[in-house]
Amino acid sequence: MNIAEQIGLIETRRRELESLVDRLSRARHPRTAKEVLRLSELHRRACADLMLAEAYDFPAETVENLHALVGRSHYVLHRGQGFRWRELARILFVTAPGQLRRDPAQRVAAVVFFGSLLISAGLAATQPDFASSIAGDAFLEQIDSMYSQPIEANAHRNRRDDAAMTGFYLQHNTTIGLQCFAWGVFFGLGSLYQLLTNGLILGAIFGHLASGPNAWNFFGFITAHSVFELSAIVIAGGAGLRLGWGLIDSGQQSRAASLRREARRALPGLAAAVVLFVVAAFIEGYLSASILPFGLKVAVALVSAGMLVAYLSLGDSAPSLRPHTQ
Amino acid sequence: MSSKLARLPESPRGIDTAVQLVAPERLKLEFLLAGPFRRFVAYVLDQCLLLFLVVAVFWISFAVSQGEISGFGPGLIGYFLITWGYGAFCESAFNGRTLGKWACGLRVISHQGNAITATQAILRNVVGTVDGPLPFWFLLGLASMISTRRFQRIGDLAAGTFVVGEFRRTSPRPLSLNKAEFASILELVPRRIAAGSRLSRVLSDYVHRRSRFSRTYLEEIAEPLARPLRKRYGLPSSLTADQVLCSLYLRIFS
Repeated sequence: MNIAEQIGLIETRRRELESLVDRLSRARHPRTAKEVLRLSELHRRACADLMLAEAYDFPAETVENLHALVGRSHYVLHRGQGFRWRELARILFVTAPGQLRRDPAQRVAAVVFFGSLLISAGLAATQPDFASSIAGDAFLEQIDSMYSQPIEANAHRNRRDDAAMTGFYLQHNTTIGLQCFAWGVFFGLGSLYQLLTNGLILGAIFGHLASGPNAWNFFGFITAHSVFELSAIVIAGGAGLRLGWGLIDSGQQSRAASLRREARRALPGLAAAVVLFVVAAFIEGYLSASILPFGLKVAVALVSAGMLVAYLSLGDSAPSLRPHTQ
Repeated sequence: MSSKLARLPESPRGIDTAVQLVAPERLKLEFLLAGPFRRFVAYVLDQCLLLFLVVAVFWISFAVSQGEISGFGPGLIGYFLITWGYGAFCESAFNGRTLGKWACGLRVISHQGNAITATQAILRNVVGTVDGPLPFWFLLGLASMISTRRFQRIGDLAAGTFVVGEFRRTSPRPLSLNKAEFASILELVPRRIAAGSRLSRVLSDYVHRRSRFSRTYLEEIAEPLARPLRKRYGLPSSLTADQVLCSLYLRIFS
């Protein structure tokens, strides 16, 4: 067989594979078993043809065409799986709680956030200047006027819209949470910064208001949603720290590979945090500002704390998350 | 001068921004990388679309709530979903393409050459927000793209993806070689030619590209190869270099 005949054969096979790939790469094309089998057969033939063509210096055009085609058929064979609800449910209810329970990064995030919050609250309650130096005078005045009236009075006077506020809380808080995670890619420093500043400012406001005359108006508002919202910030920050830790301690891998692996591991925690932010936003919008009795809001907080503990006990008990144990 | 030329990469692909990956079936896959400026066009297109979608969501939300302030609620939720979910959703649902990437012929693929997974799509978009206007006005994304071999943003690095340009090859051009024209010359060429693979490749490259050049330029290109070939196969020197190469090509390939 001379080269021309060889090329002719390759060319006919290439045409068939090309039309098959065209048909199969249409997203909504129903695939028959016969077509799929033929695809794998032709793909293997094309790979062999390509090697032959390269080894024997076939015309550049034949080689290039084969290269392009084989790339496309490879892509059709190994196509993306897309999005699956079942997979999401498994990540949220099996993978995430187990990881959150074991991950040291989550503990660090909790210590940083709650530590800075408590210290800042203590200082703000005892030293009058501290709160204004952290949060600024204008902001404190605004906060003071917000909580100067009991919720019942507020609900009648200003026409506060629950739906609009829910949307605002959801957009604003979840964005902070996602940023807190994403900035973790700077060796975890971005997440630490976010956890620390959020902890300090929230703590300063808390200490300032709790030691002031309007304390009970304030507690009436924050109690119901606080459990979910504060833990969501910690979890998002912890996921960001995990992301950054991948860059710091790369173990036996290259830094890029280590970052990839830790990023994939951090994602279930982030998903849990997003869900918590969303639920917290609805509680904050519809329940916290309502005129329901304080006892009921405390009950909501207790129930949500119980749910959180129950959630964290879900999932398997796989080996720990330390990078060296693969 | 000559030493410089000798060091040039043999394959013309060597200087392209292409990346070669070896698939499990020992198959070399070749991808053309998409640089920052091609991707910026796709990014701007996507941002325009996002703006349009956000306006549409608020408009619908206020239309449903009849202009009440509660229209802000669903509007803001829609705004959140669109800004954080658009890229991740499109790239996992449409095999690595957003609408802007589709318009520019770009596709995100996994670093091993496979299609990207939903996890990767979410990661590259969420972590990739640090490449955007916040916190450093795109500088971080640009710096990361320039300093990595595959033009990867930080989001790409975290997700293990990169962006390639997709282009479809045209089917081979028909040869502009009239066999009858060379019938008389082919009489002079020996029946069997022991042409090595290298010679056949050079001949086929020449014949496939000869229609792009003028006659005088063709002679100039072909003469250095035609001279030894005339001598080897005893062809008369009255034949032009182009005629020599074409007739030899016909003898080998048909």
